[in-house]
Amino acid sequence: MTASHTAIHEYEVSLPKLFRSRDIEGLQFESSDELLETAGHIGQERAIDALRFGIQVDGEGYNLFVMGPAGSHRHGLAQELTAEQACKQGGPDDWCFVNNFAEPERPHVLRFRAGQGSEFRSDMRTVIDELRLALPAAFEDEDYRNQLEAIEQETEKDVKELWRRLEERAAEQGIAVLPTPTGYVLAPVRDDKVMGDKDFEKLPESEREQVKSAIAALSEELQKSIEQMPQLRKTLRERIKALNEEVTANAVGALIAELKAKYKGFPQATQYLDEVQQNITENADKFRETEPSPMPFLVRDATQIFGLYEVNLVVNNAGSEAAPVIYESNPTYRNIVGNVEHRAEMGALVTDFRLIRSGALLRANGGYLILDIERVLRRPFVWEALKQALLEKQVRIESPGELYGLVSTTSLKPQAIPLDVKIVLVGPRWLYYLLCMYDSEFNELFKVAADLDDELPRSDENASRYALLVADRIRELRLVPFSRRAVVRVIDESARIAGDSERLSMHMRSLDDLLIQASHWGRQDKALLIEPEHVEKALRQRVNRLNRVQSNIVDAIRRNTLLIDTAGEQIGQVNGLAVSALGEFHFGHPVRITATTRIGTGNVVDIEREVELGGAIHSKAMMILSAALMARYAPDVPLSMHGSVVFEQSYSGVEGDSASVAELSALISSLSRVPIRQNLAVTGSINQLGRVQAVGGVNEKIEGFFEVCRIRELDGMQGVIIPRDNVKHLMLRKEVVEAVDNGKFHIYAVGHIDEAITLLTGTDAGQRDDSGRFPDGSVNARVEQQLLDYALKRRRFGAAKEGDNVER
Amino acid sequence: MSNDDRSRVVLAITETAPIDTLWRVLSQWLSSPATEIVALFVADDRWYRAASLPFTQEIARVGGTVTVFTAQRAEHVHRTAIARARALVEQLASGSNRTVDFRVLAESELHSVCDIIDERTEVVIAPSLITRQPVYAQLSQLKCRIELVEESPVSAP
Repeated sequence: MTASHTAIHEYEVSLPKLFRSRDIEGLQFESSDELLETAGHIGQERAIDALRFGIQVDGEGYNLFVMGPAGSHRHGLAQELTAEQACKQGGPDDWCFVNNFAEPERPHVLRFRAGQGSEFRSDMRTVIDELRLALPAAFEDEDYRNQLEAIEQETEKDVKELWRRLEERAAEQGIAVLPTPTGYVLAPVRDDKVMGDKDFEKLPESEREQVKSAIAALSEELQKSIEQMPQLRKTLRERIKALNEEVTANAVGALIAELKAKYKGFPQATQYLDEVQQNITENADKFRETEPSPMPFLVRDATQIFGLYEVNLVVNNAGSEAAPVIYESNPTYRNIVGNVEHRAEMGALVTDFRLIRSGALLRANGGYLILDIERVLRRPFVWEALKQALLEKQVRIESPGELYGLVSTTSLKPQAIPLDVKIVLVGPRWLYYLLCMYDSEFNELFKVAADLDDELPRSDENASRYALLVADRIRELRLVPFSRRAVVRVIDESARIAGDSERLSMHMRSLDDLLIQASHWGRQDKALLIEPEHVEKALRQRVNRLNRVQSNIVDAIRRNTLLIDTAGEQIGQVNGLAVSALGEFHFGHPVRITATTRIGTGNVVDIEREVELGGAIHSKAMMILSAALMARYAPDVPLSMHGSVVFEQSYSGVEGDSASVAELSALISSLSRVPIRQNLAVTGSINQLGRVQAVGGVNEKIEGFFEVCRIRELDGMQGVIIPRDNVKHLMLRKEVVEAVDNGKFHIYAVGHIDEAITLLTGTDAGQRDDSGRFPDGSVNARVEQQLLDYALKRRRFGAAKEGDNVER
Repeated sequence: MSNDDRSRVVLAITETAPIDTLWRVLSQWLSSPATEIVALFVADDRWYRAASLPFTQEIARVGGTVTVFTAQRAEHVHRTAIARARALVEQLASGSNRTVDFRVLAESELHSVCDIIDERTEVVIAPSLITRQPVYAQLSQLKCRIELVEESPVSAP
């Protein structure tokens, strides 16, 4: 029984369904320049609602994760909406680090209203500049010098008096006090001459004893006087210090008091100013200009000392009236958290509060910080530091080495700064779900997900809005304006990118690339308006740049290295269709699928699975088609066949279920011994009931087989069978549509395996009649008969084998 | 002019003499660059005499510790005093672009002072306390002019 020509035509997809172009009826324009209305964020209503909610809602952990594929304008959307909200908020506070005089390794932080931080820094610089002049001048003042001299003279007078009394007493007793380089010697004197032993022996015994005891007493007194000297010197130092402090306090007091009055609304600042005054007063000596040191590089001069009163303004929001929106494109630890820098001094690395640097978290404090999650996770320590800051609601500027105890040297431990920031992470969906699953803190900290849609329905309204979007992008990218027809062509291509004639792709980078490339070719033609031809050229050129592998495959088929027939008939052999993805370039090509059958125990062997080249979905599809085979034929007898199916000349993994119609067709052909047309290729998945289901990449697959047929010359009989549910996805290239229009190529759509078999074999598959029998000569009848024969033979073979056993 | 024709100025110094002050006075007498300067250190054996007494002790200026003042220590103090005086005189002379003939007159050789202070000597500049030393008797017998400079008492520690 042969399927009629009319019946075959019933399955042919009509020309308009192969490429559905849709005019933009709602918009009248000749050039995209005329479309001034902005498109807004079409098709992203759900994501925008989520983003707005996340941005506006108050509460712990209401940070955001904007998910969508790269190139979906996810960064732009996040930045635009956060900036919109930021404008409604006031400028955030300024933050400064200042010296902690009691514990310099723990610098203090000061908070000011926006702009006042820089003012405070400037005021402190002025005070320092004034002190640089005022303090040395105060110490040069005559009044100070007189007071100092008086104190020194007073002490000197005390010392001299002490000494004079001692010498007087010694002289009265005939004793001289002789200074040696390191001390004193007491010796008896007679006639202004120190006595020697011979002269001394001549003295009467009583006098000698008197001299000895006098020297002993004077020695004791001299020792006491010597012991008093350090105390006298200490007293002198203390008096000088008190004088210096008094002079310093007079010089500093007025300046600091003025600042304290100005910043009385900031208790931390006034407290700091008190500390500054106290510290300057206590260290008054250091501000005096003394004689140059023999080793000046070892001495901290006044410039360095005054530096300790500087203000390190780490967050300066002067002039900003809106909350900050920061995008950190390089989210390293130091760029996010901040760091403490060091400078080399005499071969050592030293630091102080002036070398503390803020990171993006502090710069965004009071506003929004946008980060690319993939980059955050790639950089060491950043993710943990970010979560810690959010959990503690404060930023501690520490080096990661210290944070993780890797470095034991002392560094700064700056006071933590309270954090009030909303983090907006941008990244792919898979990372969001991965973090949800494996990071227990993630859901607590990022409670709002904004999921960008990849596509939107291709309604008239959406098509018009898409045209506005195209015009927006052309303007923003400063491209040559597009004609109305070119805009329509771009919208058609958007449907092609979506792989669906009823949807439009929201992948902005693909759109931008197409517009830029079409504009480029238009400029090459010196066109004032981009026309559809330029868009076509851009598409063609892109394929030409990327299709080296595809060309190699087609060439291998042309040269019969890869065996694909496009004419004739073969039993158990069918052209399947595969899609390969190389980066962002996807292309289809035919693959030969063969099946063999014989008597067996009801197994269908998937050779791909046996050698572990078949993926899980492909294996599942194979089991489904086995089940379909068992359910459809000879249900009352045991399935007594052995079948095997393979992708010929396939040397890499096979995945997906889109070849299951082809695989079942090859098995049926093998069982029925009815040959399959080789001028057709087939794609589609199948369920257990024989229903053909939609698959992906249908356009690429059709074009892949078309290309092979084209190079072998189209004979008018070639074509592709696709699932009926895929017809809505058709957006085929112009040359395919033209070939179909000219009757040179055919696209057939089927909904059931029987329809596919009828088309592939040219023989009616056959339906069971009321008696449950397939029509004689139909493919299904032949299959069933073959399976019954296998069952019978198997039973006979089994019985004979049993008899053998009995005899034995 | 031969060396023998040059005029001479003598700086008589003792251990405690204020050498800076004496030099300032001496500078006023240096009318000609050719004037010869002789620094005469009048040594005193007081350290040796003090050390010869068994009970003499030295009390350290820092800390006040007490040690026996031996003859060896006396020798060291004596030499140090001469070296210090010489260094100071030479430093002052160098500052004035002059050279000095530094000589030491031992207590046992006082009579030889007349070999140093001869008829070419314009003046002898000495600390006032030298009048209480035996050498002054020798100096007084010479016909040269003696300029005495007031000496401060022993300095406090």
